Amino acid sequence: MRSKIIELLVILFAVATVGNAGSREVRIALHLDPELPLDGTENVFVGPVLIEPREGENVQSVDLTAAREFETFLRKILRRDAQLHLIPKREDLRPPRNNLAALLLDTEFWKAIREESAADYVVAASIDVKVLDRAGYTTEEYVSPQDGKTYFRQVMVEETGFSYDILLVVVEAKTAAVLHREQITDFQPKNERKLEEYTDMFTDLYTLQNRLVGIFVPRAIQVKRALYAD
Amino acid sequence: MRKKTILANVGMALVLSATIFTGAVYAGNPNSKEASAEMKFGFKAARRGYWQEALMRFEHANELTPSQPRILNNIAVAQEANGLYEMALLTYQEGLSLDPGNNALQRNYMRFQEFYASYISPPEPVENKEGQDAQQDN
Repeated sequence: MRSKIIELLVILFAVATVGNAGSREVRIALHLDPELPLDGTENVFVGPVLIEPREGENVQSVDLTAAREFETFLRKILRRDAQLHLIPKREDLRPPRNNLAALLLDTEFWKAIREESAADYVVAASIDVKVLDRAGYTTEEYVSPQDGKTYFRQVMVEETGFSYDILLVVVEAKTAAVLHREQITDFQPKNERKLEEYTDMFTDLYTLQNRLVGIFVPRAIQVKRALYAD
Repeated sequence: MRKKTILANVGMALVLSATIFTGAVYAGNPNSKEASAEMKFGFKAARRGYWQEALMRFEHANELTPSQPRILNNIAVAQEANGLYEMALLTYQEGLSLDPGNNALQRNYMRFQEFYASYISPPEPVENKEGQDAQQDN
């Protein structure tokens, strides 16, 4: 009797499978146009990267490190992945304001960069980084498998890493017009051992890298789709 | 002996259901054989990465046997691969309106919607939306 039931189930499963027959998974690359129509001959100036801590907070040493690291990361990405022609870094660049929104209104500043460096575009940013190294208890619902009742239990939650809040802008140096704005908020988890090491803090931050590159050059995203064979 | 009987039964069930299923899909259309051949050719082209060729074949199959969710699914995928995202969206919707229970179509459409919302038509920033609301209020 039991084997009859199994046999029947197998047959039903086989029939149901045929209903969806011929569908196979294929990988496709979806192409995305860049945000800016660049042809690769443009001169790009990177900077300034401003530090804008959250309200009620002061600039900390990690912010200074983060700003320096981010500029290095940005230059690496734009040169290596976007293959843009970058103008050498200027150590003497002193923006008249520390607030990016206010600086964007200062057209003379951007035009001065163009005059001094022959830049076509300026990639500037403001950054705020917070080191998260906290652990605590939170309450969550729990349904007991014994009696099916809902209880509440304490769960230990750890949050260790860097929380980023970055505003990146691309300015046309000739007109001081903002061509593109990108607000990037992300979190890079770190283990305890590496928490004090601030170097390479943006490396392997896929979201950031992907979005930054996508502003300047076309990119492709690999996805899976089901396709019928006949 | 018992195992052989089960296998034979399963085999027969597969053959029967496949025949019924294929018959139902292409029933009553003299172009069905040619459409099936176009689908096969398109699938092979797609597997090799020739997505323009694949799209052309799937579209031809659709002309021969219109309103087939299976063909519309393949057209939508090929449109995606060719960067025709707006058209793919409409094709998926058309396919699902014909066969809302089609698993492949449903799965593809859900994945496509996720991609579309993230990269092609991301939601507007909150500050802009608030600005628009304010304008509407005015």
